Amino acid sequence: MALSLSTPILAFIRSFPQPAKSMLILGLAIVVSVMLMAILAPYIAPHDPTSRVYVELQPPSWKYLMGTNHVGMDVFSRVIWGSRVVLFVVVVSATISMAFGVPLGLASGYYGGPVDKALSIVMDSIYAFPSLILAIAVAAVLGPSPLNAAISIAIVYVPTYYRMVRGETLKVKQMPFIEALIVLGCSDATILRSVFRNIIQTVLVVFSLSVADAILTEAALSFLGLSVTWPTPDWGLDLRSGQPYLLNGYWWIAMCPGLMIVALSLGFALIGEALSDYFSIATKV
Amino acid sequence: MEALVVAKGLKKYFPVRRTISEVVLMKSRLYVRAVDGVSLEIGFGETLALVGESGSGKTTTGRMLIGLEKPTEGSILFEGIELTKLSKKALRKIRPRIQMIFQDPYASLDPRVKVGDQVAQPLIVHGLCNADEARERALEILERVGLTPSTEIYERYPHQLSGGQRQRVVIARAMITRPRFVVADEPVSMIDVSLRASILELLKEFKRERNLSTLFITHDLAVAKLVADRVAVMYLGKIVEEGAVEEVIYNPLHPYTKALISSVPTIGIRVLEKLKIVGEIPNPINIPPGCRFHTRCPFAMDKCKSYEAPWIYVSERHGVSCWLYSAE
Amino acid sequence: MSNALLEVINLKVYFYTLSGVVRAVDDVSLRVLPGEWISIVGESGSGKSTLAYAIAKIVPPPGKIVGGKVGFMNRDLMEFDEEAMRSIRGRHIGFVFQDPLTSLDPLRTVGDQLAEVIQVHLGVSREEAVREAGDLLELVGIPRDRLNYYPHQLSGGQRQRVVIAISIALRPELLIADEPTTALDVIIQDQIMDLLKEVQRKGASIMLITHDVALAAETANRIAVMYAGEIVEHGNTHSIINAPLHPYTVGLVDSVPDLWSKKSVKSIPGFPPDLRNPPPGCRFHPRCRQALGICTNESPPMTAIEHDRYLACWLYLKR
Repeated sequence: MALSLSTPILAFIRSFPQPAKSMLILGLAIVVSVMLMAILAPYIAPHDPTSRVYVELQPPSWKYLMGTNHVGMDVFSRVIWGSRVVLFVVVVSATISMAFGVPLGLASGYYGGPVDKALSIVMDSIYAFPSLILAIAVAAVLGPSPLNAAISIAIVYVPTYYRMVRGETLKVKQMPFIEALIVLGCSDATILRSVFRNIIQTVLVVFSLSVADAILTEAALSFLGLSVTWPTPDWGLDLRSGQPYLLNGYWWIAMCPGLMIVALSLGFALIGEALSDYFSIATKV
Repeated sequence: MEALVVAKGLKKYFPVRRTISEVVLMKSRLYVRAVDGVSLEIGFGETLALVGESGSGKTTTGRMLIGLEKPTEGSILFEGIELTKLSKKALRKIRPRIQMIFQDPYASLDPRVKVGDQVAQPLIVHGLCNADEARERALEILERVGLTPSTEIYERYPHQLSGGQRQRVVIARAMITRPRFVVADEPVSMIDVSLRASILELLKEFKRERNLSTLFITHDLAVAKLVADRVAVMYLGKIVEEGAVEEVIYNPLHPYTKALISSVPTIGIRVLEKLKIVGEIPNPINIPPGCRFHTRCPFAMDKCKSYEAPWIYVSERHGVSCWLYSAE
Repeated sequence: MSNALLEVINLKVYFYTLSGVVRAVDDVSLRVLPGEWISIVGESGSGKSTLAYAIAKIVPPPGKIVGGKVGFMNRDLMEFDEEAMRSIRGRHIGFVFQDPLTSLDPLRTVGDQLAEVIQVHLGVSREEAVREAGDLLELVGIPRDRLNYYPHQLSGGQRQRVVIAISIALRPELLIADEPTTALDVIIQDQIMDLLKEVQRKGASIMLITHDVALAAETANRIAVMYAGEIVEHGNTHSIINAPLHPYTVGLVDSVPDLWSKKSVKSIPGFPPDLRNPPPGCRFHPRCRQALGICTNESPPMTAIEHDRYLACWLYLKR
């Protein structure tokens, strides 16, 4: 099964022109290894991430690869377990954004009229709002929890999906093959399905790029204590707990989770860029 | 003879978007008068070629007849049914009997669906038969339009076919529901020159076999001559001359028709003297008053500048809209 | 020393794409005499445009001139570097493209663009250049007051006239027009052709690239027919149109609907080949009804069969 699936995927990757191919491979390598890290956390983390295992503020060593933090927890194990929270929040938020943004964008672009105008204004005003401030405001109202963080991030990215899908729908709608379906007497549902089939690559690109962005937003929310609560391991939260010690030379507490945030975000961004190159989609996310 | 399609006084005005300053200054809205009073009839088994330059309104006329565009004014009777008054649902029921063949064979097929499934789709959409039967009939018609082996072509995606092959797929899809009336909008202008004749021949065969009525939209009079029984020449939203195709080509009356015929390059020997005209087709937002051709007409008289010419029949089925042929 | 203005010898232009080498122009030889009009006729993908670009050495990447010689005014352009070529382009070889919008700057008036060409190349004063620009506009049939217009304020036909004005501003010896009227209506096409004939009357050679056999026939002194990257037949217009010999030329002439000829119309069977993997032997043999055994494995050489009549077909060659 895994083998039969991997052949078309490999063929797909091979069909990318350079440099998009290198970008895609690097991006996939990063994202897949973080995913494996999250799935296999109980087996690969050397220590319990939430209990004191050694003297506090110890620099990286062979036993404690990324050192220990201010209360003596193993930073390496916390980084591994922390990937779970990031991925959970990001996947849940992207699913919610897509569930609203894609159908609304499709309907808005296809039917047009006053509903389209009203929706566009609402979406544009959300979009015009600085995304981080909006996410913080929503998360603050909902209260700190990973699910609430996911919801607030989702709200921020609905307009991104909406705008891209609406724009593509307007473009595809005018293609003669859609007009051909109208002339053939197809129902709106059939035609919408056909439109959707032809914009799906855009959704894929927007997904990768907005997830890259959402990782940073998630980190900011947990940095501000609006996601998980201490001592649950989380990259954004650990960034904050390490921050006061940064100036005293204990760089590893903040630096290690910080680099992971950058790497994961970069991974998704690389995939998104490669896909948009491949499908030649202008990315004005 | 009662005609299959009768259009009367068709008009299509597209509003021009105003800029914000124009809205503030309450300037009145301008309209592009794309089609400005077109009447035509297409008999059973007859092919009418609608000929004109870009901007003449020929494509918009075709789109109204097919129901892709709602006329601003006018009526369209198909088999005695008034199409402009039909609901979306009722129109959908008539669709199998009215079909369209598009200009661009690269864009008129869904790139993500097998061509065979696209050909079979109309049958399934209208519940005319079940999936297995639809597949059988799609294979049959693919064979009929010369796409063999049809079982192999059925499984292909559009990008795996050449332009000429795709246009055959488009024709197969339009013909599978056995329509009575087809609008063909420049069906060969994007096909390689050496392959055009066979596509035109295919359309003529369907016409003969099925007594199909066709509105054939083209800018190319030579193509019109090859496929059409009658030809109507459009200029700036109006038909200026109409008649049997040989008659219009060998005995053109309207100065615009004469100029159009003169300008077609040929490898044969011209029967008519060349008539050269100057200038270009005016903007359909500002249509000249009177006869709309008078600004470019070498024979323009005073009355052409202020009065529109009446429709004059010089023989039973050859009409022209020009003051030169008026007794007045 | 030859009396030809342009002499193309065994020119090869290949495109190195990801999916293979496209042999767009393969071993093409051609000669253009001073003051004559030659039309290159071929279908899309026949390599006719690439040939035109190669003459001015402006083949877009991934295309490359891989062999042959382009002699122009008795100099070998292949030995010219980019800077030397720049003094040839415009000054001696003018270009008119299919879409006039791509060759005009949308942000500058047409007068400005015309005057600049004149000023830079002829080294005259600004006033003189503007006056000359006005003269040129009138020459191509546009009122002098349109000097202050921007390209978007002109119609498609007028824009193409402006492009022609720019390309003949320096009185080049050769004007290459690549499908100059494909985007225009027939009446405008006729007007533009008249304008080009006027340019030829003033002494320039015209090379018209077109897919339209009738258009080529009405204007040209000589016609070269291209198929799949090769010239298959080449001769004076009358003999090519009225007595074509190569089966492709015969098929092409027979396939075009014509307003004034009574002949029936029939397509050439099959499709043009993929130039990444052209058929061996004569490239037309898979579509040729008269193909012989030799056609499938040996490419017919271009041979002069009578004065100024060249043909590459085994049917007419003595082996």
